[in-house]
Amino acid sequence: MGKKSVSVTLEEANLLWLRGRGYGRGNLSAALDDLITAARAGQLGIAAPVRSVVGTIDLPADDPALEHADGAIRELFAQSLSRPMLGREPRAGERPARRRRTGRRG
Amino acid sequence: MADLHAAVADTHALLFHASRAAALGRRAAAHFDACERQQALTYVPMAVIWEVGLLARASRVNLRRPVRDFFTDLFTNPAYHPYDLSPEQVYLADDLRFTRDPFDALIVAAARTLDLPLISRDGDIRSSGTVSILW
Repeated sequence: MGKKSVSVTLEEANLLWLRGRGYGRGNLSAALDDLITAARAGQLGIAAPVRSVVGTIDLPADDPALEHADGAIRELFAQSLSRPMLGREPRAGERPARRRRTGRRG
Repeated sequence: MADLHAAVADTHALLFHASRAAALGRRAAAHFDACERQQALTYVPMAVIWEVGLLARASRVNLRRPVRDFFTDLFTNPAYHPYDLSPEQVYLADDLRFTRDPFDALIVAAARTLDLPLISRDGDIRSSGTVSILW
């Protein structure tokens, strides 16, 4: 189908969103085509009102600069990383080991 | 609309912003304030979303709601965009030798892929010179 040149005026918030999606330079037409195609197919929802996250979370009083955050995350993975990656094939005649209840690495 | 300033958020930077922490650097705070006014862009790598979830699980941050709801709220502002993880970012992260932290490596790789500064105070990232730093 052919294409026609049109001039559009957009709300700044919508233009900002388009820019963020990488549609800002040179391919705005493609973006609008994509969005209109999706809208015609009933694939778009309604944009939610903006809800700022500023002042909505708390950092720990004992670590307000998150100096120990990396250590906390390493601890979460320490058990997983300490398990061997490779299993051992059972020898002939050897009874299979009972499955452990701990999760295996995926 | 004038040319927008855009950057990639590191985990602690986003959490400092959301908690109004004084630890946030001056330029980083100015960038986030511009985002709140919808006059700048911040990309949020997948590794940041995961790391925030892990920190909440480890009680190192209180999001006051599930991690999904926190980021749903954040992304109602068109200035904030989730940045999908791609194989290219994983390859780039694997190439980085200055850190053994997989989250840092993936976050730096996201900034490299987007060719944007990283909002971070991390000294190892800064001294590596792999990305420009906004702080």
